[in-house]
Amino acid sequence: MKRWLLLALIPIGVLLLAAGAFLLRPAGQAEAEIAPGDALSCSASGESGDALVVAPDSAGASLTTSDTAALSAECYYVGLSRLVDGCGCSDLYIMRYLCYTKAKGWFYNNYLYCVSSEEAGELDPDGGGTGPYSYEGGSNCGGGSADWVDPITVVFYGGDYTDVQEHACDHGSWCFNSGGAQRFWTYGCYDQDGNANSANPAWTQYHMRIKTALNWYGNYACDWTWGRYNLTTPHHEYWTMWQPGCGNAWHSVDDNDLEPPGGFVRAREDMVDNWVRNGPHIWGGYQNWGNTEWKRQSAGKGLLGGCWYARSDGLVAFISLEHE
Amino acid sequence: MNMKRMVCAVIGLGLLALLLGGIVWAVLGRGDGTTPATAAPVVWSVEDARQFKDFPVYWVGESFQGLPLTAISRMDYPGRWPGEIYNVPWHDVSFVYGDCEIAPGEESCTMPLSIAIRPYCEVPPEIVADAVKTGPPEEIRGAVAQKMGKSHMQLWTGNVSISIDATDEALVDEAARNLVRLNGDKATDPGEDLGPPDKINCP
Repeated sequence: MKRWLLLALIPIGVLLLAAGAFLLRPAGQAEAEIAPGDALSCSASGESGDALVVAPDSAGASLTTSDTAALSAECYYVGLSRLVDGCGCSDLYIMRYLCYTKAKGWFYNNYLYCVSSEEAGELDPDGGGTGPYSYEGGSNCGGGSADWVDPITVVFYGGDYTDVQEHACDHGSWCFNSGGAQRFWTYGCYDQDGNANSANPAWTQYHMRIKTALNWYGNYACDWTWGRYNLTTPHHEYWTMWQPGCGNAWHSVDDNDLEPPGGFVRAREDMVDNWVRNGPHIWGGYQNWGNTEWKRQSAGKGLLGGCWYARSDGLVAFISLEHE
Repeated sequence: MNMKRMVCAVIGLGLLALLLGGIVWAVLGRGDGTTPATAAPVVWSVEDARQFKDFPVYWVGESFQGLPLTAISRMDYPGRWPGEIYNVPWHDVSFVYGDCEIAPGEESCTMPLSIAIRPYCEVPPEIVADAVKTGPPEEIRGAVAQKMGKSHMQLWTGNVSISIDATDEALVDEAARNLVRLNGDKATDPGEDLGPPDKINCP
């Protein structure tokens, strides 16, 4: 008799548990809706980088507002969830409160925080936050445009420099990581993180220097649109004898006149071609940064022809590190 | 001829051939097999630029603020994929002033001043990224001007867009105030207005 009763009560108990779980389910589906690296979640945190926002489906109330429904509700703190990188490049915290009012019954309020005690480090290429060129190795980036070396022509977003190197090998065979050290200005003057180049030995080749952007505090920067982002200086360069009077380096970027559109644009378009047009990466569009300084190269066109000159057209391609 | 003389003669002829080859290489340019077969020095003269008909070109003379005109460059690049969204045509005439010295360990150096003129629709005002704008657009000699950082200004006048790059911020402004038309009969004096941009609907 007792065994029969027990067998009957088990499914009833399971049903009650399931019903309870259903009734107490979170009203907001923030965890499911905000994916790591999602730029929207980054922008949702507001410009302070430490803002309080309310999940869209959580009754639109905050305990700190004058919302009468929320204020009159009886709320219980029921937990805290943390989603690593849930704000694109900082962690997303979700505080959960279970509340009750006579009018609404029981409901959840979820509070979302993108926790970062530092400034975000937005992409800011007017010279204040982000230098539009790389700087000479060993410099303090303080010499102004005279210290500029190569124009930044591609920004990779949604990962760090190791992701850039990995995909550069997958799409376009830039599989090597050699090259001289330069610096980048990203809310401070920092050494590059790495290189990606297409030839070993590094003679005539494609090459870029990579810096995962940092903020004023030296932490990874988070742009409200792009999330974590990388500044890169792709160029195509020849291994060729220098010309007296021009310089003494063996590498020279393709001259714009001899080989339109020149080595800077050639490399940028190679990346757009291999990563996006004929590849799986998400395209973020072009921005015009106006970084069109002429760079005199070490190679020449013969003593009667002068030196090689190269420059970019000022466009910067934005390419996601994620596949479509 | 004994063996010793023959060896000396062969070595001498070899050295002579190397010397002659080096001179030809130095005068005519690279022959390393990596540059394209069509590569030939493209050196524009002031007269070439003066005769240019495709669009108006502006410069600041054969020297400016002590910087001599170093090079005139002509870019005539149609873009790689006509009709595609990644197609980026690039047509310009640019004037490079002064010279620079490549620092030890570096491969290039920044030229002090350059002025590049492109058709308006290749760099219309609306494609300049907001993040790079230094202040709102202003009017300089009737043209619309937008500064970007401390070393770059973009001007729009008539049917062209003019880029001014300089390693010295003051030089950017000075160049803008002294632009004159090279291939036309208007705005040949810095005292004349450049005029506003035409009303152009870019595709």
